[in-house]
Amino acid sequence: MLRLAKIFGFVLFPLIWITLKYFGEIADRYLPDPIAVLESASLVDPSIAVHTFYTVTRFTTGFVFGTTLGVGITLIMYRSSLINALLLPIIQSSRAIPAVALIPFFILWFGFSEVGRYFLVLTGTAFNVAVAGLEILSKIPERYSIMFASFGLKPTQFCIRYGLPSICDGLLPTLRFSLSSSIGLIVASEMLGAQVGLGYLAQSARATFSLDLLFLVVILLGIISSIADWLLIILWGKLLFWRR
Amino acid sequence: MRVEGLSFSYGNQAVFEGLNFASESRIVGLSGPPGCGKTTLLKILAGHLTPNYHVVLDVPSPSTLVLQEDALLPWLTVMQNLELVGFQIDTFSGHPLWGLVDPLLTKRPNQMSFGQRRTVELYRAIVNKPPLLCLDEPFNFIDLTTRNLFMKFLMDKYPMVKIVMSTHHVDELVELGADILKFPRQLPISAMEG
Repeated sequence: MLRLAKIFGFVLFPLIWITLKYFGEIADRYLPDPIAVLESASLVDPSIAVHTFYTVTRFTTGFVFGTTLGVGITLIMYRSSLINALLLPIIQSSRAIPAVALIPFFILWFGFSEVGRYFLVLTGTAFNVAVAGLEILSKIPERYSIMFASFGLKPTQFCIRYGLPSICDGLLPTLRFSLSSSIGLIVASEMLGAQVGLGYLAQSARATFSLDLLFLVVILLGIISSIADWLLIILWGKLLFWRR
Repeated sequence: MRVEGLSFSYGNQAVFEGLNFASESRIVGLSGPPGCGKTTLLKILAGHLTPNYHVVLDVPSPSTLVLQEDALLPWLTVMQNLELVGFQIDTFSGHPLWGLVDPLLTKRPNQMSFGQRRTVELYRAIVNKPPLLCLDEPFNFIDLTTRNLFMKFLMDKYPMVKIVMSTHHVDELVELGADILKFPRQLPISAMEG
């Protein structure tokens, strides 16, 4: 029954869309025709696949490097009380600023270059990961802290043998959130200054009143987001081999 | 080992109030009902909890404390868990208890039973040879043969190490020839039966 419901969940949105469109007689300016939306893909140049490729490459690159940087910052901050005291206020306050608000700065600093977009996602991801990582390490179970103290574990050993796997063990919820934020950030940055990508395509569709294309972009972003989330869960499951 | 004027509380719950005890025995056993403060005393003796007031703690240092809960890192094999604390296979392969962990070296904690994990933990603490070894219910989940091997080793081949051990099984303490301290049921504790 649950399996059926899950399958039905995938087709629920198209069903509602088709039902509303063909039986509810809603105007095209509010709800475009599904066929017209599909056909709009063939009118795009370069092809929709090229736009999708650019968007996916941008957010995955920024996300992977951002996650790596965030974990690195966590370990360095945990290892050094001095660095922790210096960096924590900056990271905490930076995290409170919506990353989207930084887009104008990145455009001013990096122009419309690709580097700026990667840095935007990297920053948005790294700070979230660092704060979550520090939170994880601040809650070392007592049995481990006693064991480390009993055997006089060296700080470097602690970081590599306990810190890193322990962060990985508890980071998935933050990573899933950061991944969806990354997609949002890339789309927003593409809207403001890019010549290719789904964000650019959405912006062009808005400028030309092409609701069909705008719908297509939104649907594609939803599919990409779901697939990326699913892949992240699978990859993380493989990484945490000790849970199997 | 000598403790004078020990007071400790968790928030408003006082566990010890001016507790004094002393023992000349190499092995000290703590016996009593669950929740009576045995583990808390072990943590204080091992230096992982700080008493409330000035107290005389004349105990060997440094110490190794083995809690009831499993402290093997789940992502490491037994060998890696041993190496983590400075264990070298060349040095310890001739150890009298080596046979207990040798077949488990390539396994991770989730591939072992409670008893096997406990065996590795005890072995790791014992070969560390601290001046003070604190053991909290050490033989839980361990089979009789393995338990007897550990007991024999602790009694006969471990003369330089002072041991404080908590257990519900007084017969284990009697067998080890331990000086037994019996905890009363009621908290806070200010005196124990010797």
